Amino acid sequence: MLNFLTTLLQAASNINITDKAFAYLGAGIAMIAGIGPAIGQGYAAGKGAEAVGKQPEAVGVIRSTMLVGQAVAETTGLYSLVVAIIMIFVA
Amino acid sequence: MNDVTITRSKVPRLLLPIVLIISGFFLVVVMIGVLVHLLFDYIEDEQVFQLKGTSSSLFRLTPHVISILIITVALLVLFKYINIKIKKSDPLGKPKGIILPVEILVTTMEKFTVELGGERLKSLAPYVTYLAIYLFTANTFGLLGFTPPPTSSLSVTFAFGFSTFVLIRYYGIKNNGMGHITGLFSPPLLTPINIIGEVAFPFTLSIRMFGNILSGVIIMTLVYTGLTGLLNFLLSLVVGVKSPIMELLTPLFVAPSLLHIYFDLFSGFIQTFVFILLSSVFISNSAN
Repeated sequence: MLNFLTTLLQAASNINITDKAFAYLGAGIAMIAGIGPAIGQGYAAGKGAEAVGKQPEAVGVIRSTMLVGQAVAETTGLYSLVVAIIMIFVA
Repeated sequence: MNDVTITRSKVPRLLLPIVLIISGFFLVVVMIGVLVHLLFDYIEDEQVFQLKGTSSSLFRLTPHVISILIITVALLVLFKYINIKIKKSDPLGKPKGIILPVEILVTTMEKFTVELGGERLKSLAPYVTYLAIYLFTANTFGLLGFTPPPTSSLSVTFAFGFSTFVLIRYYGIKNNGMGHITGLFSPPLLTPINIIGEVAFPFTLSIRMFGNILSGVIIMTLVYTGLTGLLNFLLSLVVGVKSPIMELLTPLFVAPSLLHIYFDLFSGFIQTFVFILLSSVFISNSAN
């Protein structure tokens, strides 16, 4: 165990942290925002299923409304994806 | 005389046109290849065609531009064919052939636009129809595979978002005069929020479509590269060499087909529909 720790410290002191390292780290942290659309869209799907259960003959309208609402709710997740892509390729 | 025309067989009559069409197709492809070879040179690092004699990035054919050219030419030929058929048809008779789906499309888009915005937005229906056709074709272009879909570039989607922005201003000023601009300043404290809301709208519209299509392209690239690597590894176990033919065998796994159905067809259709719905809703909001 002590051997492993000393190897780790030696490797850490040899690391050359370039500018790109923090950009990649930032890209990873930016994608934590992917949790938001998942919860929101799942909630909308649940409400859609409930509405179909209450009135089965309106399935077509409910499905279209639910899909459009989910596509709009996905936008903030895509903002974080675009920020992550900018971090990786541009900055 | 009648007996001779009935008993003549059809095969020799169709052979010559089919041979002419196929050889004409090959001739067109070869001519395009020769033209590109004469006028452009290919830069390997970035996979772009640079116009000979220039060095700035304005004179480059990126893969997205090549897809746009292919889509534009294909849509032009299709629209001209439909125009010829419409001119030859009877306007009061029943539509048949290619005119039937075209008529259904036009009436559906007109009903869609008038339902959202009222009768005075009927002149918006051609814009919505063209957006629907072009964006659906552009988003599902990933099915072809050799060029990326044009909407996976932020420049292309921002062009569409910007045209929607211009139309919002146009319909707002046409129906409300200068009240459309002074409406931004009416609660004086909320002016920055109003301005940012109006300016940010084309950006969200374009980034939504760009992000969806680009993430589809990235995932499909990863899946194809992974499956090609797996097939090459199996081939090297058996034979000992790697081969570029293995990329063509990847559709044997079911995964790429299912992912294409989701990312290209389903996601492309939903994004097109959301784009035209939001465009027409905001334009009709600014018109009253």
